Amino acid sequence: MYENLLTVKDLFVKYKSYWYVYHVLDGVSINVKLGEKVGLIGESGAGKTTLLKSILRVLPPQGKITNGEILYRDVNLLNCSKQQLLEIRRRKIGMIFQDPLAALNPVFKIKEQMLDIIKYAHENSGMNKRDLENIALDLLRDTLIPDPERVLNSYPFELSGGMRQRVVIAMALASARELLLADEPTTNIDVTIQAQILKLIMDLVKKKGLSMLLVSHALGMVRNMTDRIYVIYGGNIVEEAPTSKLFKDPLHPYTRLLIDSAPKILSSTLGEGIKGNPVDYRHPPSGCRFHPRCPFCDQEICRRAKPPLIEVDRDRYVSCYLYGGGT
Amino acid sequence: MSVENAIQTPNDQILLKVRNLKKYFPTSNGVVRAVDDVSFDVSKEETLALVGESGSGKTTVANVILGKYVADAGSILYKGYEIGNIPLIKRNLLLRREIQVVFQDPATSLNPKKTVKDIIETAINIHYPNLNKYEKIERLLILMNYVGLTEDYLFKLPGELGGGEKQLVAIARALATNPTCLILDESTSNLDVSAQSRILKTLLRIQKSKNLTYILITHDLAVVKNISHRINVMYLGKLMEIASVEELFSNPLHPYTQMLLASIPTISEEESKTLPKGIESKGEIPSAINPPSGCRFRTRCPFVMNICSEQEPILNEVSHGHYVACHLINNMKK
Amino acid sequence: MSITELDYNLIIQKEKEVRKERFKRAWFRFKKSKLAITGLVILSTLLIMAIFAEYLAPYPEHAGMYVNFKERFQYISTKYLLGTDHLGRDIFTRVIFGFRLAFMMIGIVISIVMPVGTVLGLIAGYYKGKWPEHIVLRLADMFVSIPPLILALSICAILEPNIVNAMIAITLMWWPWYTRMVYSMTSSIRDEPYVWAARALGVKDRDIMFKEILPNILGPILTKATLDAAWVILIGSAISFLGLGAQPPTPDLGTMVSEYMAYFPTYWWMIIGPALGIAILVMAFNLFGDGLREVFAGD
Repeated sequence: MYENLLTVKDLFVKYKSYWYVYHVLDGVSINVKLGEKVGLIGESGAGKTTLLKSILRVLPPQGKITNGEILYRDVNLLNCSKQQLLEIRRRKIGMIFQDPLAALNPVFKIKEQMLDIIKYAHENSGMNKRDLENIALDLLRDTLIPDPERVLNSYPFELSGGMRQRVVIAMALASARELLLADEPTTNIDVTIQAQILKLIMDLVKKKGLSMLLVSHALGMVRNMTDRIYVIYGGNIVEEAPTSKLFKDPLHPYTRLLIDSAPKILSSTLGEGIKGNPVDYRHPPSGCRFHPRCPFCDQEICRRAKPPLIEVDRDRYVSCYLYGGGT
Repeated sequence: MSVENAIQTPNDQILLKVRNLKKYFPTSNGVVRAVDDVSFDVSKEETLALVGESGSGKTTVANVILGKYVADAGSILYKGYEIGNIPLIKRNLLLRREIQVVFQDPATSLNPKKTVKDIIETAINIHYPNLNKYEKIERLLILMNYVGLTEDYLFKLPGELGGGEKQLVAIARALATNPTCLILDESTSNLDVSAQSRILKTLLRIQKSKNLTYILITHDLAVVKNISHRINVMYLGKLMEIASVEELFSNPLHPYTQMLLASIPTISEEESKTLPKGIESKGEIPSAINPPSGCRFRTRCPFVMNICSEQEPILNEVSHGHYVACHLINNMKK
Repeated sequence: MSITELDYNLIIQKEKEVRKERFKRAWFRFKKSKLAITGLVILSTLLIMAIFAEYLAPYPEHAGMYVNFKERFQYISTKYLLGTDHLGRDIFTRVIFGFRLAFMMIGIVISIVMPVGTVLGLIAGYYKGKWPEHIVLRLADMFVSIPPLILALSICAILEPNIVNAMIAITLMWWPWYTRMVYSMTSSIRDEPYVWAARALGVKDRDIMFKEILPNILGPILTKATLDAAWVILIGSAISFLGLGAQPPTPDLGTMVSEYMAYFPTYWWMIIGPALGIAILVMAFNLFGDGLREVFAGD
């Protein structure tokens, strides 16, 4: 079948503040195969962004990877040489950031910011500034931005939210030759523009033959854009399934409640929501991290031991004792 | 048929009458026409949704009703009294009591240094200063109970609450004055879906038992579908379409409404099928400083005609309670 | 549901407990910072010394007008811990009384400057864009535009040089800094939705300023006050050193340094006492202030 492009194995990440230790990622394993579009859904504070930052090795200094492996093809990003890491960051993986205003430096023109990235992506290729500018223009044209020449010479504040996000996408594409990471690419953007941006990302991924890891809490968006989905709750992967199956028949109680609570446009009945609050990483619940909020938790074992991720059907994995895995 | 006569809500019990409302903001680049001649009604005990992209003027309309801004022209009649020209600081307690607001971001809408008790008590102290201390506490507990918060939350600080719980406290504070009308300014858009559905359910329950009128400002049409009765679609400071929820979702007429609906990210195949096809989102909302002539939506409209740039379409009733401002629809009707 | 007196008392009881618990947690945080505790210990020691100076100082009568030429320029010994000065007075005694004066100066200056500066800043920030803002800010600008030490010196020079006028000078140069800090914090907080919610409810302007906004900026204000205490001593000392503040024989640390400087190369130990006294006091206030900042910053 596919070749594994990105593999994260049993990743543990902790944040240390002056007073507390936050046990955020708790044994996360995911993989992205070549040419595959993978989604990662979970609520805010589920550890999605931490995972992306770990993959790019850009965790803040108080964040520590305490265990696990991150393989890009066969390079282990956690102990490869600095040169290899830079090579992968500059020419293999590109990232679309959540807030387009914060991702662009307000005091530099778009041109300067894009050339910075393109310069490294085409290091040692002997291109002069003119060539690099043409690459920047091509990238902007790819994003269907109106009047790319003008955009190149503008400051970020002179562009609208949708245009800025297109620039951010163009910048991500400069270094994304194989894998595109997208962190909530459309939060704070109007639905109409959101639809345009999502379509653009889909088209570009297809055209350039990229693999994609899309991270979001917006269920509908992930459904329309991915082949396979991981559901993350409190730093644990609780379910993995092909997209169509996951939405038709969610298995893990968390996934069920999550999909149930999304407002529907067909029926006018609202879901119950999920009682309680997200995981407090300072004192994460014992056993299954979802058990304090789970309506189906009646077994002692939920509180005692973390349920393993077991295959319950073809390509479907669930981490819940309702589907076995207990003794 | 004039607009004045055209807009008749299904029943005569009208709480809020907005007529030819205009609100302009002068900036260094020119005058931003945030709300430009908008007329609609809000009837008692209904939920009216104001829907549109950012820059459509929906929040400005709410802020004028609330008194944060004063209307530049037009009128807002609340129970027959003109309130559009009274800024918040000039409003008396009785009027403030009637209209309350729940803000978008629960993280900043509660004072981080006050406990839940202090937050709600402030509201009670102002509007019911004559109650004795027992009655005040009783009222406080009733309010908390009402939104579904237990006594354990009394002394928590906002920082110790989840996003949904914070929003419940904000609702309790708004209810403390016994309001008639509650403005929900994107009240659930910063929340996760699991917390969002809890808030929406609470809002529905409260509306039923307290006979409240909601003005819901949002860009999330899926939320609108679930809790509102009627929808006003706004674009660049103008009303584009007014219809009941069922009508708007089953028979959207204005191209902009169709574009909005087609842009909803769906979570099942069945849902995708019900949304309008053949219209795709394109372009971005233009600046409100120099809005397009004629129909303001024409720059993004796939069905644009010659007349659209020449003449501004007026809001016409196409069927009972369904109003559209579009030349295309008007022509078809003729 | 009806609330009885018992229920009410239970709730009030609970509220008190929660408050106590919060205070305990803040204290715990403060305690964890070793430097802050060091600052607090030094400060309280010095404060106790200053309060009971009459009983703790070996020669209380040396604090004021006292001359004993026989014993002048004595080197450090067990009899005179820091030696004696040019008039034969025990320097250790004078330093202890110097602390008393320093604490009094800090207490008076801060207790005038902090509330006045805060209230003016709150008013200017809350009525942003209206006349109170313009008046307060322009007034503050006037004072700020002159370098602080020069302002203080010129006020002292116009008035009679003594300790009271030195304090007046420091107070006058200090308030605009509080006002400006409070103003900038207030004018950003006043647009927060929770302030808007309070306005929509009909809370009085005064209550919004003092009950909604002030608690949110109290942390930085108190921290600034402790860090400023150190500056009050330094500026006070500077004024005294230049001869425009406290006059001899007042046992002021700055005056002492200035007086003893004259004998520096030969009788070098004389200056150690007052100079070290200023250094320790300033350091203790800074350490304590940093600890406070930690407590208010939260986790």
